[in-house]
Amino acid sequence: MNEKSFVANLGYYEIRKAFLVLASIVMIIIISATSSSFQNILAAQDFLNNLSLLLILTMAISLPFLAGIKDFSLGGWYVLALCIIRLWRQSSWAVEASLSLHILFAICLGISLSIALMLQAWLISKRSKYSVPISLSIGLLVGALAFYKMPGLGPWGDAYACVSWMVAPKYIFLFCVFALIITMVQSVRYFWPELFWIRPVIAVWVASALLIFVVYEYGGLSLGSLLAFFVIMGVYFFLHHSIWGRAIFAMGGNPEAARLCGISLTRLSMVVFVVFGALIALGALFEGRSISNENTYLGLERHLDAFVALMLGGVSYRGGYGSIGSVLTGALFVSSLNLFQTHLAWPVFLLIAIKALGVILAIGFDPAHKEA
Amino acid sequence: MNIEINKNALLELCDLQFDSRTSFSWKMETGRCVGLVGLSGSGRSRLLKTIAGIESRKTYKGKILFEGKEIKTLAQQRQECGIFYLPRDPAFVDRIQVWENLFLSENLSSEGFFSKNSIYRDAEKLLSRLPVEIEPSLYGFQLDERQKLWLCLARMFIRKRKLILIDESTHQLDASDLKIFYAMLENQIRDGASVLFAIPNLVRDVGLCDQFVILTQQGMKVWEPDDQEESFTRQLRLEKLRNVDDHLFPPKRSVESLSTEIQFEIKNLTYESDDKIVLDHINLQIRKGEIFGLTGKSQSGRVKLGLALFGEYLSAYRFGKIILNGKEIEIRDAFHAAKSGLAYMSGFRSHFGVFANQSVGYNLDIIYSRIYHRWSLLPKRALRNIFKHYAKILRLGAIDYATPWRRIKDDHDCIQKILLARWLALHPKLLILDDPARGMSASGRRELYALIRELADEGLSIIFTSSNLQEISLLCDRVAIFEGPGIKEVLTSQNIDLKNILGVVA
Repeated sequence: MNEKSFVANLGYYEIRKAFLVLASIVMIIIISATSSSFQNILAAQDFLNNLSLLLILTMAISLPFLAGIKDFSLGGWYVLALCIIRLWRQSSWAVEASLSLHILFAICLGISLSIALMLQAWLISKRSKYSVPISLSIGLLVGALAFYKMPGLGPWGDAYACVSWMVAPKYIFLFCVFALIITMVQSVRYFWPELFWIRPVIAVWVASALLIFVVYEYGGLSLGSLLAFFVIMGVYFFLHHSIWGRAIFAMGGNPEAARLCGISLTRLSMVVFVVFGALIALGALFEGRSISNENTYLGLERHLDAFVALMLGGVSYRGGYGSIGSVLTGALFVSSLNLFQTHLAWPVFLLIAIKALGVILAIGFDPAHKEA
Repeated sequence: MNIEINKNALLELCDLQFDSRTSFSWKMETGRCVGLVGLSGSGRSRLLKTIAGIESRKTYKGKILFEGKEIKTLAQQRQECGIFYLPRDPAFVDRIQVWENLFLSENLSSEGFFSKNSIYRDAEKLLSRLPVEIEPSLYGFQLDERQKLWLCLARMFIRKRKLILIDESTHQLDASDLKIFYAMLENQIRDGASVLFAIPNLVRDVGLCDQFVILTQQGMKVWEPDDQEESFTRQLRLEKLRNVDDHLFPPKRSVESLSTEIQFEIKNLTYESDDKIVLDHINLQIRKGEIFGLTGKSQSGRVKLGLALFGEYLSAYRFGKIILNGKEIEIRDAFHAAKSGLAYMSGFRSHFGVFANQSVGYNLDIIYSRIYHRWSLLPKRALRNIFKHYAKILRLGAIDYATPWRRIKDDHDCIQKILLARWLALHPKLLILDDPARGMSASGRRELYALIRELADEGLSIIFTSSNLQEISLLCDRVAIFEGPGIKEVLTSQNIDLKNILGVVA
């Protein structure tokens, strides 16, 4: 690819992503230089955990939006998942439960949330033009139920202990080597004899080097961050390497044409919401902040952050346009913005105002509207 | 119609360009009733919308002068100039009353207020002139389809107009209603209005016009018919004028060369929804390698048949059998139809075919990947190979798999090739083409017709639906002519020519 065609390919969409990444880096540098509270490992780990959680939730909310379904129930379901987790942790079973029982509980939570959301998807597919009021009211209803049943704080706080479990650097190193080999084999198989196979290999090299450097610097990586990485990879494969992902983009881009291409829109929305539910459950397992009857806005806060990240990153509100890259950049920007506000002690209303302005700007520059 | 024609230009198009290929320059004289004729996708609706100020100023180049002055883009301002636009499917609101619906597009207020009583009386007066009884106090949802249609048509008679733009709005009127409508329109013309009328049906809508403007790839052709000329001769002449050259079509083949094996059969196929019959007792037998044409008036069953075979009217009651290669097939949705060996390509590409946010490769293999996957994973290597194969066969040029769709969004020839390749990759047994050459250039049409003939020669059965009688007559081996939801007549190879088809359609 010559230089001219590379620049021509660099559309407004890539420029937008580059801007968000740059802005995030600048904010983190400013915080590192000015705030003394950020200059320890715990603060950095906390930022990484928050980013991971936001990434999982933004991934979750991006799926219905990519499929053209405007869903606003994430906050409610998220709070419900937190409530169920707390109920479980205060039950007598959980006190002496083994690790496998905890994992079984997590799987059951994911499945039950997925089934519940599948029913919501069915309802929305019957009244597709009313997706916003239906999802919003279901979210509110479910959130209210969660707060009604929410028990008081336990002695161990809210999050599962595993959020702060550290994975030793040697495992990360082994994982990076494995990822590199797989990428190389797959890229050569796919692109050979063209030279495009070099690009993903170089990307994985750089990412692995960065990861190993950070891991050795901090003495490990939290389980939450590692899990977020796997979720990113999983959703990437789901969206770009499976027929379901293709169908999601088709449904979001042109539902009429998608139907004539043999895509069952009802079935597809159910699949989307199953993954959506599983990701919400996963996010709730890694929530690090307390939630109680006095802090009823946590679900809404997480929902808003995920929505802002989605819109800023460049997933189209009209559906059918967006990528994992846009979700990543959006989540990185919003996390950095939150960090900026916390460490520089800005008033909260300013943060909210910036996010709101960001969403308005993002709608003005909606990629599907720009490039269709 | 004896109306004095003023030679001063009422409307003037100066080098109007929608794309880089064609520019339109034309003057319309006052007092004329001009018929706008062209093939489907030639841009008649777009031209009318542009004159009416509905299309954005960014979408075209050039000038539109009305009474010598350039008019602005706002539709409201144009209405105040005296231009009235009646769209193909006029806007109608169910939840407001008839009198409000009637004055929906009018600027009634003076300083924010209007007199309801006087408007109500005006509505009563106007509605009394219509051939249907409509009470102004009724709500929209209380009216039947015919009443709604007349109500929308009546909007153009509310006040004196200078220029009336009609975009195929008469296609739902029956013969007696059409006569009354034309009489009312003639009165309006006598009162000083000029009419620019995108003609929906050459068979019945050509009587009123005293001049015809034919939109072609080369620009506008103006034709003034002889008043003494018979209606049928006029229709035939117009059909020839609007069409592309005969040499774009491959030479006709002999019927003897066709296989006698029946590939596809429909027996007594009937679709009935709640209150109307969509398809009525359709019986067809299509041989292997045959190109079977479907034509008829707009709103007849010709387009609905293809859609029905692709699972469009699932909520309707269905009777009859669909047999492919001797086996009865059950079509539940588009996926089952495609898996059974049927393929459907519509000429309404942006609505029914294109995923504009994705790449060219994605658009080509979206259906293939849904059928030939392994454990729901995309066979990426196979998909790239398929793209390469069809890019070579269809001569797609410099386009590669990852080319964004926005790069080719204005190249209708290329888009149609890619959408055709999407279905050909599945190796279907029956290909249903609905007006495939819509909006294509002459060279694109030539390639498409040659490809269709080539595919048929290789043994693919094709159902070719079109309103363009020239395409039907020169390309098809047999032709079924629809009237309403049923087939009126099937013409065999010996009887297929433009005159015969036009005669049966009329």
